[in-house]
Order: sequence, then C-alpha cells, then structure tokens
Amino acid sequence: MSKVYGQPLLDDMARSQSLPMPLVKQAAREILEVIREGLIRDKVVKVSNFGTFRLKPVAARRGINPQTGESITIPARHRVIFTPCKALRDLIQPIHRPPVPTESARPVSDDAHTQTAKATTLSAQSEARQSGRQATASVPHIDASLAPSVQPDPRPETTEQPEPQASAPERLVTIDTQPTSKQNSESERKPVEPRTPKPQEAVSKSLAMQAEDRQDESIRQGSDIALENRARSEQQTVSAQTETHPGDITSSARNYRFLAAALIIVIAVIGVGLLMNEVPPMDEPAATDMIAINPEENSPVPGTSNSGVTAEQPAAEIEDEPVPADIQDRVNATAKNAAPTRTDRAVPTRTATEMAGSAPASTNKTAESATASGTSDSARPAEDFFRERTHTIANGESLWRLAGNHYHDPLLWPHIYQANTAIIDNPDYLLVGRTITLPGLQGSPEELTRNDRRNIAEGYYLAYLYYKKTGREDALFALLEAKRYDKELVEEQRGQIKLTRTEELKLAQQVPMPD
Amino acid sequence: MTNAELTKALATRLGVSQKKARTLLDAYVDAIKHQLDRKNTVVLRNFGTFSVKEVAAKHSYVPAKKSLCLIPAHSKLNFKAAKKLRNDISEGVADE
Repeated sequence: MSKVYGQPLLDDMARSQSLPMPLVKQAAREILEVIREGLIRDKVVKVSNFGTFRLKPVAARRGINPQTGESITIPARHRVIFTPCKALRDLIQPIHRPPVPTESARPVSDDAHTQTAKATTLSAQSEARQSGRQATASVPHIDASLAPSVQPDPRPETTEQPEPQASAPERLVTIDTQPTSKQNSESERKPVEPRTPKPQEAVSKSLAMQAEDRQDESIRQGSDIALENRARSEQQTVSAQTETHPGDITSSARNYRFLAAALIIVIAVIGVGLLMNEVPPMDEPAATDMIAINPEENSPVPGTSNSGVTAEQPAAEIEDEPVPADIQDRVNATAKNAAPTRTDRAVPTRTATEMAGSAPASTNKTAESATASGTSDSARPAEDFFRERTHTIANGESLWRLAGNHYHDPLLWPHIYQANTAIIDNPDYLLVGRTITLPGLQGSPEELTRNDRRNIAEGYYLAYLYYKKTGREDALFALLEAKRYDKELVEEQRGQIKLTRTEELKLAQQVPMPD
Repeated sequence: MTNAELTKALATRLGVSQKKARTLLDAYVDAIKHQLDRKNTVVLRNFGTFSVKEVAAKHSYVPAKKSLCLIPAHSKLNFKAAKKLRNDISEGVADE
C-alpha cells in the first residue's frame, strides 16, 4: 500500500518486453498524451484489458468565494471517470486462501504417559485417604517404579503435567474435608463464563489432560458417577479426535471441540480453586451459632431443596390469616429467589438449606421440622427477637440470613430493610462492614402486631420500589407481599405506582380469603 | 477512441509499427496492473492516481424481489484525475 511513481512502471516494461529504456520512457509519455487528447476529442477512451476513461459533464453551480464571501458561479465542467474492466476488478479483490490444515494432534502414545502419571498420584493418595471410595477401574494399576519421576519433562506436551501433579496432593487433601460441597460449586460454576480461550491445540490438550487428572481425583473423592462419566466421555472424545485422519476438512471443528472440552474442564478446575477460598468463610462467627445444621451434609441440589421447602411451607404459618396455598408457594418461591445473596458470591444452595433449616423453626405446628429447628430455637433465647440490636455486616451475610437469625423467620427481612434504607439501597446486596440496626418486633414472629405488619409491608413496598427502579422483572412479588402484610398501605400508595393490567389483576387476586 | 485508434496514434508518435505500439501499450498497462495487484497506489504525473480502496459490506434493495440483498465487502479501483488533466480537459472541451 505504498505510492508508486513512474520509474517502477518503466522498469517493469523494459524488463518484461526487453525494450530499450529510452523508447519505454517516451512511450509512457505518449500514451498518456494520446489518452488526454482522445478524451478531449471523443470524451471516451477505451483501453483494452484495462478500462475506460470517460468524461462526465457536471452542471454549473452556485458557490461562494471563500475570501470575499460573494457568491460566484462555478462553471460547468467535465469529470474524468475511469471504470476498470472485469479482469482488473477481479484482480484487485483480496485473495481468500483456504485455511492451512493444522498438524494432526499429538500421538495417542502420550495417554500411556498420562495414565502412568495418574496412577502414581492415585496410589500415593490412596494411602493418605480413607478407603471406601470407588475403585479406579479405568486406570490400570501400574507399579510406581514404572511411572516417570515428577520432574519437568523436556517434551513440550507433558511439561505442564508434572507440576500440577506435585501440587495436586496438597490441594486434594484439603478438599477432602468437604466432598459434597465441592460438587455444588463445581456444578454451580459451570455456567460461569470462561476466561480466555487457549489458542494452541497442543497446549489446550495438555491442559485438558492435566485438568482431567484433577477432575478424576475429585471425582473419586465425591464418587459422583455423572461427573466421572462426563470426564470419561470427554477423554474419549479427546482420544477419538486424535484418530481422525489429518486431511479432514473438519480440522477446525476438531479444534473447537478440543477447546470446548478444555474449557469445560478449566471451568471445573476454577470451581475447585474457588471452593478453596470458600472454605474459610464457613467459620464465620457472625451467625454460625444459629446455623447449627451443616449445610454440606444436606443434599445440596437446589431443586430438591426447593421442592422440600415449598412442600413444608404451605403448612407453615407466619401470621393469623390463612393464606391460599398456591400463593404461599409462589411467594416462597419468589421470596427465595429474592433472597438477598451473599456479598461475594451467590450460593443458592446455602440459602436454600438455611431456609429449610430456619423457616420451619418459625413455627412449631409442622411435624416435619426435623432437621435443625429445635437446635436453632434452643441456641438463642426465645425473647430475643423483640430486642433492637445494631449489627455490623460480616462477610457472607444477607438480609435473609439476618432475619432468620434474629426473628427466626427469614421472610421478615423487609423489617430490617425498612429500618435501614439510609444504609442499604439494594436489599440483595449488603456491603461488608456497614453497621445496620436490626429493629425489634413488637409481637413475636408467630403473632405479629399491627405495627409489625405495617413495618414489614413498608419494607416490602420499599423493596418493590427499588426493584422496579432497577428494572427487575419480577418486582411485583414484593408488592404482593406488601399487600399480604398490610392491605391499607398498598392502597394508600396505589396512586404513586403504575401497574400494567396483568399486574393489577395479580394484585387484586392477592386478597386473602377469609375463613 | 478505441484501442485501435490509440495504438495507431501511438505508433505515429513514436515512429514504430502498430504491432510494437500495441506491445508498448500492453506493457504499460500491465505494469500499472501489476502495481495495483500489490495494492500500491500508482501516481502518474499530470495525469492521475490509481488506487485500491476497500468497500464495506452493505445491504441494497432489490425492487424485483422487494427485499434486501447483501453486497459483500470488496475492493474497488479508484482513479482521481490530476489537476492539469482536469484543467486541460475543461479548456479543451470548452474550446470545442
């Protein structure tokens, strides 16, 4: 893309046709002269294999003399237009070369290497850990002497394996204490966006191998068949890929499949790493005296917790008026969704199990309050909920959890919210270190007084306003809850909120049916 | 002016045969095309500038089908006449 003046053209001409330079120079001059005269005479000059020069008339127009400012007439003139011929048009188009087929993947013999390396760590680990885990049927037992020593291997595809193998034992032993929760965070982390794609196939493949090693270790601890199958199938796809012949047109598709498999495993590894950081916050003193249940022991799949809670909730009564079961379910489902999340990370499983633990604690009517309601009741004096306290937000706390601790009913979190609107604006997002007041209840969580319900309704209403302002789609649930606690409040405020027709209908339905 | 007329005039001016003139003309044009192939801008003094420009993809309306069609991105050849050529043309044409 540089400018070329006359000389290179002359050189080209002389060289290609072996013509003498003086003739070439003169010819270049004369050609342009002839074209110029031809344009003047005929207005069209057609040069074969090149293009056509044309004169296009341009009408006279008004203009302004930029120096004097007076209007002048720009005379009619002709424009010189060149239209290239088809061959020239095609000549200048960029050339799209087909993608060069990449090298075929590294030979499968590396699998033997990884197998032996895997077996080394496994045999080393099995002595450190208790027995009773699933036998590693897929990995053949190989004598440790055969396995390569854990040193940096000169071969590029295996340089990355020995180091993580050396570091893996420490990490895995620490993970050992909480096997099931790691499954949680792994399954939770799956939807997390991957960071950067690995550009090189060999690097990604070796990383996939090394990540698969870690994956297999963690699988054996938790004995989760689904994850193991998935890792095995991924390994199979990886090895299957290497068997396709190199001239395959879908080599780029193969790359993408490698990358996808590597990315999924990298995400799992990231989940493992993040879980490591989650282990300390478990020992937070802030509210652990309330949480006597061990969340990790419960089956942490959110689906089951959801159904478990919603099955219990219809029987749970927070106040005097019976509430239709379907609205109660919906309220509980949405309230759980609205449950203020942790400041650092979203842990829906923990809040679900907290709710399972503490929500039945609010009532003694249900027979199914088996797990920890009794312990949580006995852990604090029953009259504590009407005392007003100040509280500094610690790491991992939410309004839901605080309400559960203080009032034994996390559904009363708007009571805290409405007392602290100067400090908290987003009820789902508490900042660590702020000091908030936990207001007292006049009555008890089972029997809320009129003022209590007014305050709670006010909290829900303020939450509704916030959700509406920040564009949350299901904001209406907060308004419905506000109405449930205090009808008059909502009716007073009706003038200030705009509802769609559907929302109005939903609001109208939210009238509790009298017995 | 056709190519034939061009070569005839060229042959007369250079004092060579028409065949030779044709060869010279083709060589000159090939030299320009060679530079354009390498995406260079060819500047011919007092005549004009040939350059290669990129055109972005765009949709255009097809009345027959009443729909838009996509014109993919491509390159185009641009010629800008030199000032002397423009002036000479305007004078020459005006004189007629």
